[in-house]
Amino acid sequence: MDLDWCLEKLTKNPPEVLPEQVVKGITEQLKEALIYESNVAMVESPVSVVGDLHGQYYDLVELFRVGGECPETNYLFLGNYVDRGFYSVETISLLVCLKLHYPRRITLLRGNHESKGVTQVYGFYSECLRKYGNANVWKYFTDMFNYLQLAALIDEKIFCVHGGLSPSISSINQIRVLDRFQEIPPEGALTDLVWSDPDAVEQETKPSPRGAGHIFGSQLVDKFLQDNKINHIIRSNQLCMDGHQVLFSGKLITIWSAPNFCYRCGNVASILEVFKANNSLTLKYNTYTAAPENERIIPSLETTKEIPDYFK
Amino acid sequence: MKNQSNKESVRGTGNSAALCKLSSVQKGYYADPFIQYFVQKKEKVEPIMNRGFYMRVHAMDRLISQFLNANSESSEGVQIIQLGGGKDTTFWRLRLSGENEVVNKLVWYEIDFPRTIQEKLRIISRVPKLQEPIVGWPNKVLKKTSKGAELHSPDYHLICGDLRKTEDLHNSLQEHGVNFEIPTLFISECVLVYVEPNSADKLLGYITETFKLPFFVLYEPTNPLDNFGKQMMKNLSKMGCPLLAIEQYNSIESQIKRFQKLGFNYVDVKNMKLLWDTLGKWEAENVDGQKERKRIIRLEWFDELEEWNMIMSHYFVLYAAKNDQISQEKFIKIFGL
Repeated sequence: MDLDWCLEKLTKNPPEVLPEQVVKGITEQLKEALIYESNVAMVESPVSVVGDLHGQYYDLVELFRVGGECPETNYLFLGNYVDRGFYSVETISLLVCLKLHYPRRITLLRGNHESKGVTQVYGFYSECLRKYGNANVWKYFTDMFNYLQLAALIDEKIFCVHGGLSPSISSINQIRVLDRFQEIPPEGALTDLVWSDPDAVEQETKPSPRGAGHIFGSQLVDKFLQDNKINHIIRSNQLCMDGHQVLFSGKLITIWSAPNFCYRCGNVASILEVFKANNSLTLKYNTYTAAPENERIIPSLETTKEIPDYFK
Repeated sequence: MKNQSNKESVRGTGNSAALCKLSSVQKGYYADPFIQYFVQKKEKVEPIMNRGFYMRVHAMDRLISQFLNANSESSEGVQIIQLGGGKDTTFWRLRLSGENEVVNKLVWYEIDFPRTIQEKLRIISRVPKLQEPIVGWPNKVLKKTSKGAELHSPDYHLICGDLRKTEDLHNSLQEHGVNFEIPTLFISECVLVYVEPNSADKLLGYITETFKLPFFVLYEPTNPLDNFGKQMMKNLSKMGCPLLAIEQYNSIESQIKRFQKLGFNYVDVKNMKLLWDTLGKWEAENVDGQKERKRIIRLEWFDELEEWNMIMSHYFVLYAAKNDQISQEKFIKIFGL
């Protein structure tokens, strides 16, 4: 597999999608590598943590410009690479190739959109059909999603996950023994990790209005931090107008990396740099706006309906 | 930089609305056996649009229902005049529901671009189910005019018109038997916002000056000043359907003042987000107030929570009336949400 060739195609402007057989090859290769990896990735600082991308390829390019190119900068992605935006195929293809090429420099966690069911509702399936004429590439990628790791620990002190905590999980070791090699089920611990949201006010853990996962409050957060001897939780899943949001006196951070989300929300994006300074772990936000319009191709020919949509 | 308003793009918003309504119906949000006839090509619609259009239809339906209830005693009947209704199906849904006896005394007028009226007539002519409630279809009701074919049955009128030309509008309505004395509800469901504000205001003033008991229901976007609003203005402008009226009337408060200034002495509004948050609370006291909301939440995954709050905060529904005989409290009670 000539990854340099793949990366060259994917980093052109506009990017070129990889041939179907190549996608089959890279996803097989990544599955083979991931099958031996634990559900919880052990990551060392310095590392930059990235939230939802949702197929916004040009903004990923902007992210690398702002945060530093891979592999010179280490990255931990929290999932949700596909759906909603127009370049899910290019986005996930690029990240898979970078992961294969620089396995120790980039970690890819699973988000709630790395799912066969969700991608049929929110756009990735349709985009694959449009760009390849059939659903094979969608199948290769979504089969591979079942292998993505569920969480990460930075320097054994910062817990990172896409969604949040679960009422059925009190220790990180419990996450380690879950069977992650499956489609995200409708409920349970695996579902909670990728679908849940924190709530500043709620104390009780309740079902989430998203239709999967739970809402959890400071009680569960405090207990989880204490029982697992960690200091922070970094997660994504929720749109933040300022690119990030801090809850519970800094114990929980939400990071969001899709600027002007869906080309309609007018938000900025952030990545979070975690590094050691004076022997202690330091967190620094790097906030950026969407890539300039003259540097992105607006897909008017590729889609049949008007995007973004309003109740017009 | 504002793009020009493109008539075809503005007209196209009607097709876009019909598509989203059909998707919402097929997903189980609400019932409408007629909308399927008005959508040529079905396309995938995201949950946020399904739910958003359900809320839009819900608000409009409730306000229409309240208008009919409030005027059920009107011996000469009532009228509804839909401005720019596009592919709307409320005329048929009202007759199907049989909820309100006053529907038997209701005359329904629709005024829209000639091309939209022609399209609607073509669809009606192909679908027997749509023809059923139209008394005298087709020979006694289809009429050729200089603007195009129109439909004029005893209780359903499709009129080719331009909302910016109030004199022509008046002549058309008068010619086709509008009664200026009886309770008349005007509906603008995402329509007036696309019209240049001075023209829209002229139309509103005409309504209060000419009709004795006018009611008005308006559903529109608002709040163009925050980041989401600015992006919305930019995007819609690029699509050729800029929100021409929104800069002059950029808040709910300014819209209330507008309607009051133009002759409606009762005006109230509901932000759509608030309407969602309180959904079900209007139900009868012996029914679980949150039942409807729970039903909606169970229909499908809804991962767009933050966007939902944002987009719904940028839409509102306004209801107004000109009436010397009822108190403000009674107006809110009988007509409000």
